[in-house]
Amino acid sequence: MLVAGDRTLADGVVLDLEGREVPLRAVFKQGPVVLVWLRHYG
Amino acid sequence: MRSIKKDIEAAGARLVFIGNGNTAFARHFKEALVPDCEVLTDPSTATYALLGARRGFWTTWTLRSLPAAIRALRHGFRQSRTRGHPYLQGGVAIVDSTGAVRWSFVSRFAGHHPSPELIVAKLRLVLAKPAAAQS
Repeated sequence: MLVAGDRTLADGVVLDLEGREVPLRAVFKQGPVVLVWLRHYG
Repeated sequence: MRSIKKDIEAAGARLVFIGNGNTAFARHFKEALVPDCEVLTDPSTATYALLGARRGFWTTWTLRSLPAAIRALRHGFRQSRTRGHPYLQGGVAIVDSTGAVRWSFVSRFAGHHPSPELIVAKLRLVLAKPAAAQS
């Protein structure tokens, strides 16, 4: 899908390991990326 | 997946993991399994929704997961305590620097993954073509 309503993946926000918000847009801006969404950490 | 990090970087991209537990779980995952990789987390699972990730009891507890589970056990993998959402599936996306999603894969059930070789092949393919040339 990569689009939910009027939001796209670039609108997504995640957290870094310190709990700071990281917009996915900022992740992409650094260059092409392979994003892997994990089922869980176990 | 970590095994293809060098291939991904050689192709000109980065490998980034996004989990769905809290930051303590994410730190543990990074330290224990992927110390040289970038790890982020999304406890809200909002980006999973944007990916179109599947969720639900039967996406995890399905006979279709059995071959992958047996394969994992044969390779010595043992699942530890679940840290995160137990019935949420994952996926993979290749995104370029403009934010355009050039390829994606959504896991339909537990154990449904693209092979690492497929991801590298897709990455090389999409980065060789400008976004407008993608079908």
